[in-house]
Amino acid sequence: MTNSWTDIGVSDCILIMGSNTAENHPVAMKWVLRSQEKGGKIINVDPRFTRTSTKADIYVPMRSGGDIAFLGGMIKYILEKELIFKEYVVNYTNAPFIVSEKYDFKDGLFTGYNPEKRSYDKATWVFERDEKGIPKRDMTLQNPRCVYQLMKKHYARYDLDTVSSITGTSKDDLVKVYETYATTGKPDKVGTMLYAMGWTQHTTGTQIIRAASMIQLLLGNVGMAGGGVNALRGESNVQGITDHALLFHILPGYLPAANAALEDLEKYNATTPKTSDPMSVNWWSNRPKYIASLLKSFYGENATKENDFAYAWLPKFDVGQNASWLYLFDEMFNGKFSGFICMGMNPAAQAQIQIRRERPSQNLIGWSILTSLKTKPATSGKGREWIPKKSRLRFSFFLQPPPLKRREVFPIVPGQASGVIKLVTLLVMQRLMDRSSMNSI
Amino acid sequence: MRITRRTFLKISGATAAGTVIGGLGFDLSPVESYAQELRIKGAKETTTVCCYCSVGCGIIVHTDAKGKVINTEGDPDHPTSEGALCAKGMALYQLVTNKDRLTKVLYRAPNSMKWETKSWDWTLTEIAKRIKKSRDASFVQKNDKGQVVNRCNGIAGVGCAHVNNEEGWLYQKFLRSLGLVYIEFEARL
Repeated sequence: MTNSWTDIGVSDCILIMGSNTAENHPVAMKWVLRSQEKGGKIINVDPRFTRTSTKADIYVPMRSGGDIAFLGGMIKYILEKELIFKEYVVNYTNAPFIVSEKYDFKDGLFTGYNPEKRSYDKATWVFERDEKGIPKRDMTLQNPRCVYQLMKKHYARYDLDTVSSITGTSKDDLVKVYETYATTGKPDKVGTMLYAMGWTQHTTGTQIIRAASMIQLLLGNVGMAGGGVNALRGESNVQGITDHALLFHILPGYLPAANAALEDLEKYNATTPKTSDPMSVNWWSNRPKYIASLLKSFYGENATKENDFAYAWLPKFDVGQNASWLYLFDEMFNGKFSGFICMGMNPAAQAQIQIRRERPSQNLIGWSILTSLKTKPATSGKGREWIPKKSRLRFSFFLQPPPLKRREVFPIVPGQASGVIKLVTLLVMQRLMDRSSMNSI
Repeated sequence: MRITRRTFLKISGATAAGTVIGGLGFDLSPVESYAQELRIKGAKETTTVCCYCSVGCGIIVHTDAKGKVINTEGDPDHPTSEGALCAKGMALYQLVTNKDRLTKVLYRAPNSMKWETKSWDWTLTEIAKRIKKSRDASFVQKNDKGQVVNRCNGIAGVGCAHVNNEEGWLYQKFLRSLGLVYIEFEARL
């Protein structure tokens, strides 16, 4: 989420798409309704007529999967009728930037497409730069090669007939939604978008949310009270754990993870974004400071300037190696791992790996540590147990969370397996570092 | 006036909300406050955040002198939820009292179908042994190209979106210090 829950209450128009807020986030719905009480409009676009739809000022049905066409139609409507928040778009987005002459879009493909590899070479997707390396701009937005004009050209094909034929929504309904939502392009109006798995779980989820973000930028709704692009998450702390990088491709604070090609700290720091634009904040120019602080926090007094703050100790994946969720379980299925540490979730029930007929864990040769609040889901759930009864798995530990009465010591804010992870991590670490006991193994 | 169950609830609700003598013709408020007092009398109030979805509603947990949870309810002072809770949040008490809750470490031996109860000390030591063994066996300092990678290929670690920031930090630090590169959680789903 880019805005807080209470912030939704001051919005002038709320577009709920791909979310059934009233049923799945009922307490959040309070703020949606509070905005409505003040005169805000609720628009709900959903293939189903849900409880959220009953509260909406405008409910519009749509064929499932038509989201990009629906939003693309809105972009065209906004650009064509010039309903953008012009001052915002000119000064705070890349709309006036001039794009390289080599970039083009033809027959549904952008330039640089390699049909054999089915991938894009993005070398032509760049801005024209002046001698100082600053992107050229046209603040009048008239240059045919500026982002704004290219966008207009690109979205010209999203006309009402096409959009209507893809989404199954009537043209009247489309115009009604576009017209209402585009009113937030005025400087004193702000609109927000709420979405959930209805957007994210499409194969084109990323593109849908990008289209939504473009609308919000055109209407000047980002960075405003009551605006933003808001994902209503199903779990309590997705954002926090992403910030703390329990992910292979980043380090805490969204620093890029180290790969094998970045052999030393100097090479890592060479990835720092640079700018010669005096108006650019370029906050990421602080990357060397951030990585130094991070390494110090990891390795304490052992991280010194002389030894590159112990950068060499950071585990590095190979260039091009993908260690993300599905690949991880693929590798597990291939028998690559002899151990699996899993805290706070049951992948057998919760993750997309259940699409497999076999559990990846059956090829896990070794041990597995799981934490769980309840016995059932992981030990006797119907087909949802992490370790099937017949498997090559040799050891598995099953740890329980602390009794709730110890809340004050291990606050459960928020978290199911809270406290246990801290306990296990610290105590196992302590045992690992106690060389005398470990050497005897 | 004919009083059905619904109208009774309506009237008594209005009574509790403000007026001393409500539509029923008698005062219910002392009874109500007495009932409230019995349930959470002398209980310690601790505020927490609901563990289920991202709204993060405030919840007050009442514990008795022995630290047993006796009641959970919405926190009226919480800025987002203002005391309101959804059905799951209201049922948080059942999370504590659930008979299916694990209270001891369970261990399943190789090729066994039985879960055994084990002590914490035994478990943690055994976990440390397993981690060390797997790590020693699969740790590589350099990759095929001779680049320094210092990683442990044989262990995967996943966390979850339910833990708090502090634990998330500690957990990733633990996994990275072991040299893991297969570190993930369900944010990608």
